[in-house]
Amino acid sequence: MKKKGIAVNIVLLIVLAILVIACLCVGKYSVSVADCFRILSGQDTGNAMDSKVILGVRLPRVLATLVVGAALALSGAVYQGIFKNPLVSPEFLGVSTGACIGAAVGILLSMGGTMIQILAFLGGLAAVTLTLLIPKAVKSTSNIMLVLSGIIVAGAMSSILGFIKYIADPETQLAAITYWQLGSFADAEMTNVLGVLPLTIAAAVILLGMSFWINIMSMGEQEASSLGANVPILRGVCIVCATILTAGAVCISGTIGWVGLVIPHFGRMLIGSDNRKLLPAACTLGAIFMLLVDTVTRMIGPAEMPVSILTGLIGAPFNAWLLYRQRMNLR
Amino acid sequence: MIYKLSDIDFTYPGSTRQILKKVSFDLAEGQIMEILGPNGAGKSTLLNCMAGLLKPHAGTIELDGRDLSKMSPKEIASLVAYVPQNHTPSFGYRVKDFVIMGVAPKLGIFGKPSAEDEKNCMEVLEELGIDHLAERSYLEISGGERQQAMIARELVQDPKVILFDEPTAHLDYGNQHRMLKLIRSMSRKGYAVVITTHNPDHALLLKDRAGILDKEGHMTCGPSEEIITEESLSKVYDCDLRLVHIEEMDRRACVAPKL
Repeated sequence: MKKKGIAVNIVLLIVLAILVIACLCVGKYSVSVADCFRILSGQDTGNAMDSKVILGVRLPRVLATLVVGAALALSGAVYQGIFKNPLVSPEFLGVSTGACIGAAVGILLSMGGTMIQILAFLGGLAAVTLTLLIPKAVKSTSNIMLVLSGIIVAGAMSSILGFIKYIADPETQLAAITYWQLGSFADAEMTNVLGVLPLTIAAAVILLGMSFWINIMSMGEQEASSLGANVPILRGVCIVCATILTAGAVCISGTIGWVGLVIPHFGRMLIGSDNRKLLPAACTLGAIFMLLVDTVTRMIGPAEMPVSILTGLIGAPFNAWLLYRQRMNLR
Repeated sequence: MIYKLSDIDFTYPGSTRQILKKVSFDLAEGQIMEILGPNGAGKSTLLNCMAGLLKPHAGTIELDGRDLSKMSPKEIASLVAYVPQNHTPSFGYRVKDFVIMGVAPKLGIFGKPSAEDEKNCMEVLEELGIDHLAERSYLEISGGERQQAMIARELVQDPKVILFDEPTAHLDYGNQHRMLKLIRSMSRKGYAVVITTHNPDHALLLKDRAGILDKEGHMTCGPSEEIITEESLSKVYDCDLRLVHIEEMDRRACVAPKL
């Protein structure tokens, strides 16, 4: 049955490839599939506008959605695995809020785009470090302590964020911060995506490589340890990699909720709980979901809607439906 | 000797009550040791110490001739399989995916089970007669089947010792009996087995080594025939218990008084 897992993963990748082409072509300015292929393969179609739309606007944006969707879904699946808790999401260690504060500080100080991204990344890492330090300080390394610590840090962070919004210039800065908080791919640029990509890929490769140990970790600390796992080290590596993924995603698009929570669940329904198959599937499903949602946001309405609004509108009922389907398993 | 415990003391951090006081015993390959004791006496604590999950304050534990406190989780796991009592799975792994976790001690950080491991895992499932469960979700099978899956995982882990925290808890009467049978057949294959239980009858049935841990943290060890007496049981459980010989079954049984 191992083959079934591989087959599902291949089908998902094919679906993703088809959707990428489709999403490059559709929009308020549509391009034919044939022209799209010609432009991507570097040929001249004789229509400068087509090529500008595809290469200059849509390709970076599509790439951004793929990276962000895959990164959030993968980090969500990993967090859920190592914390033995199917209700955990990438937001819960305070990563997203921390990254948001970093970005908000950048906006407040009227910094440029790249600087804002770096600050967002540092903010995310700082928040996780803080979350990891609290259990150390109270000398308890249990999962529940870590979760509580995450709630404390996220709570404190959102207050700080509230304060920054309070002192921000309501005309310009407040809007920019709020926009960042809601997440959007409208300003996605190739340089941003490519800047984040190497670290993101490295983290993803490490996590995919550790997928069997993530299965072991999901048995709980004691059992994992009795199966030969060096729990503090394995958990540390997983948290750092998952945090890099989340912070990287926030750098590209701002905070986008629900993807990291819902997609891993959907993946489990489709392919089972075994992380050896689930992790690659979660990446592809996350990318597909993000791509579709972003394409919808840029096509409906006269002005673009922040993408988080739509992920929430889809994610919340979808999660309710998943809980209904899985109620037997969530005792 | 596979295990040699000498004068183990243990107290939980921040607690004043000493759980284990000068606990010492030896265990050889093929032996079964049954640990009895009232609720909260520290049976699980003792197993946790033996599995290297908790560190005793004083005394030494030798595992296969080596100092346990100097061994890595991986080294311990290649010799000892441990099933904690509160085993609550969160995800619906298929039984075969669960069982194959037993190969973990052999793998590096990026390691994954090979096709041969998968095959070996299926053979173990067949041997235990639960290969029909292989594709089922671990969350959907019964408690008895789950215990069997757990044993399959231990056989895949291929240790020298198996530590079992209350393997018969949550099992119905027939399954408890089958479990004991399975434990004995494992000891005959050469595994040393340590189990905790609340039922003195189990120790009488297994007829090997026994240890009685009292509320003060002292442990009395020896052959179960000698250790398990009406006096020792009545004292440790604070209840007037009798050991009677049942002709029909040709065995001793522990009987509680009328209500």
